[in-house]
Amino acid sequence: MTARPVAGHVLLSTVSSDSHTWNLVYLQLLLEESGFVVTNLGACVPDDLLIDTAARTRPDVLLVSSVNGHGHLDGARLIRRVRADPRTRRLAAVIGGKLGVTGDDRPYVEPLREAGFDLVFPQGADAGELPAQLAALVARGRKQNEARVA
Amino acid sequence: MIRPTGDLAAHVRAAGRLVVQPRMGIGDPARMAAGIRAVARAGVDAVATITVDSYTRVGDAEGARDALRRGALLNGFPLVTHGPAVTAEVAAVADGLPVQVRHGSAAPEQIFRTLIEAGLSASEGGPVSYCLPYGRTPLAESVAHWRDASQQLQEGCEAGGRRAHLETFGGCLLGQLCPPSLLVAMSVLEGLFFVQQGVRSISLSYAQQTDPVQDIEAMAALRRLAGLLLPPGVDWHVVLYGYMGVFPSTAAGAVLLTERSAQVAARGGADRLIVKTAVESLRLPTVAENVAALRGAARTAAVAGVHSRLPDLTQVDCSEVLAEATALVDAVLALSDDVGTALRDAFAVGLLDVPYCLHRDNLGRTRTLIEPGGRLAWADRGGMPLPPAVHRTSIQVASQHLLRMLRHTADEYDHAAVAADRTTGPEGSRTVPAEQDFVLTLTCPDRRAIARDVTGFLAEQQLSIVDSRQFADVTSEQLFMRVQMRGECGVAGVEQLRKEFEPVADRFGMRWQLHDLTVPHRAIIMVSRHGHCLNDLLFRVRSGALPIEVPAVVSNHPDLADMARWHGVPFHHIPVTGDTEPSAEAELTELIELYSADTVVLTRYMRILSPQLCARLEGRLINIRRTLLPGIEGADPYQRAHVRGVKVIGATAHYVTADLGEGPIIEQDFVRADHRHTPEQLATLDHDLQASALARAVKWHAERRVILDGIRTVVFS
Repeated sequence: MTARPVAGHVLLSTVSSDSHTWNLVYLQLLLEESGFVVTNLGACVPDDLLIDTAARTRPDVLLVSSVNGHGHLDGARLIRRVRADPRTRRLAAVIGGKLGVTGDDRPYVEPLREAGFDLVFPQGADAGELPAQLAALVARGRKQNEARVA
Repeated sequence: MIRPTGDLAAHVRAAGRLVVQPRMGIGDPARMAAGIRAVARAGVDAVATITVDSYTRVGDAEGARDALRRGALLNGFPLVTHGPAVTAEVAAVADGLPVQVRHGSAAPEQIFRTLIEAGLSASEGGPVSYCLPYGRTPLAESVAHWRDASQQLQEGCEAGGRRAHLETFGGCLLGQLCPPSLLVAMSVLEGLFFVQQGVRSISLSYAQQTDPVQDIEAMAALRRLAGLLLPPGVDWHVVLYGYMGVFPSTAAGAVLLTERSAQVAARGGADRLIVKTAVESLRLPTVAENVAALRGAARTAAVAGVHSRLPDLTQVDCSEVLAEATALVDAVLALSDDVGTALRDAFAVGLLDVPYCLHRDNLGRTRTLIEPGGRLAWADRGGMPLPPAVHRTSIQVASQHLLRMLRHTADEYDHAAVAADRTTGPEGSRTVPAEQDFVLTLTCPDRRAIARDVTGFLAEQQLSIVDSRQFADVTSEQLFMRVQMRGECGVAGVEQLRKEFEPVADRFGMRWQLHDLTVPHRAIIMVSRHGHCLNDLLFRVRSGALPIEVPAVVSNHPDLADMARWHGVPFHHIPVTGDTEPSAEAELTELIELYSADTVVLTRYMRILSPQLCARLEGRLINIRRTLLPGIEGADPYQRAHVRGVKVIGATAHYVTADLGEGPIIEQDFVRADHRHTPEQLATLDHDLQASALARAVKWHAERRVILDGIRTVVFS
């Protein structure tokens, strides 16, 4: 097996009310296959735990996956707290899954972006495109960091 | 005085055959009680269930109270919030039937305290199975909680003169993709844990996986291992969970899978089956759907010995799964005399390791694979002390592979359903259109300007007319009108539209109705022994030719159960004899309400409904009758028609009214016959005629094309 360059470090999580994990298991495999290093926080992640882990481990991107239908509520609350915390203010953040209970997530896309997510994948979005999109976010984030340092 | 509910294990033993149980939890006490009553009256050997909501599961009684205050719908019964008195009242309707509380909590003390005080005695779960899969509680804490809670349940029940019962959830874990040997081992270990806390009545679970024969092997191994390890004096039985993973997306596929669950339960020697409904993947099932599923499961299980080619548990070789499960159990029990401590330590060192479980206290080194034949196997055995594998090596499971495996069972049954030409049910893939169709029907004294004002109103509302028909009756000077229109208008909009139309209606003295055609018309079909009209209607519904939903078939005979099931429609057998007529009619009324049926269609239903019921269903009860001239009725009609040489045979579809033998006619049809027709040929002609006439009548009725006019109808066909 040949070593591949690390595409980035992903902090993978769900929201506080969501006990589903098969989605997280799948996404971890998918991202690892594309060269990402994944920290998987598992089920029912409290906002504080997520923010503290992000502050401590400094991932390139936060990926939130939720399928219990509460993602549009819990996700918005979570990302506002992420953006309010100086340690995670600039962290690239993505959310996706089944974000509401009606089967049509489109109404939640804009509010979640306004709340602070960089990318929102509504129900039915193609997970196959996720690695490339995350890679682009990681690249953008690194460029901005370099610019700041310079 | 709280009356204790029945003893679960004794009830299962007394039944002597498969006992069925729903997964039912409803937030409102009255509705929860109605659900339990429906299970008690389902006419099958059942155990009733109270499943708690997710707030109560995580100990958030405040969250549950808040949701109740706001009138929000909970996904279960908030047991702690409602408290013991209300819970006891709800459970009392079970009328002696055992009621089990199902919950999913890693810290169940409060739930157990409430159920003890409510006079209940049965619950389920386990220190591992309600900790690892669902949350973040550390395993050591969960073990401590479960130790206290199990002892408390045992002592509390004993003090009340009852026997505590606990069922392991260890045979399920993450619901899918866990090789059976680990499920069997976990179930037995959690059973031993309960016994160590003093519980003397337990049940051991096993959840259906991907391969029915492998499942039966696992159930045989579970029985063997439990027999060896559980001390004498413990009353135990085996419970199967119908498939807990991703469910088929077609209605027919889901029906096939639930049937298979019942067959595996019967052939695998389960004493009890937790039944899933065919709508599981779409939404929470209704009470009636739960009851129909229980009856279906009991029926399927009863005939599984004859109808299923599955082996029974004496005919399978369970040596491999038994050897693996035994090795796991032995290794764990060697860690400590205290089962709780042994479980905690076993996970810490990886003697137990649940595949794909992300909990921090699970090492997560094991992986599962579905073999080409459909059986579950280890892709990676991690550090578990399993006997050496004969021909398997560890392999990497990639993301796409995992996705396929998670959908394996759903896809298998969806494909099987397609292969059996069982098309998607009406609930398969409905989308809400942006534009909706409405129908306005009205009757009023004929005057000028009616049509003008009606169409003017619709234009104001920005609805476009799709179809408009009217008829002015010159003898009665009445105008009949049906307008079908289309426009954007939400659910709230229909009510608004009705309100806005009222002034127009009042101006002309109209009798009128406004219907939303996007809401499916629900018709219960009743039948006795002749299935020609039933089959024809169900076929038209499935092929999309008849725009109704059939939530249930009701019959006073069991004969046509298979036909209904083949079409994927719940079948209710309500026997009717002279003395049971009132109770049978009460049951029918309950079903009509439960299913929110708009209409009841009698397809050769040979019992007479009471005038009260007919009056209640006025304009909603349709019948089909044979019309042979001259007036041939009674026994052997086609023989007599043949003897009389009838030249015309006919069929009449009509509304049933309380005071008329034959109510307003919706549709009639006839064919010519002559002396050459045998009685059998006459029967065939007549059956075809009845089926097609009834189908037209039901279609027009559902499309609101029929307007009642006293003892006749006006039909804009």
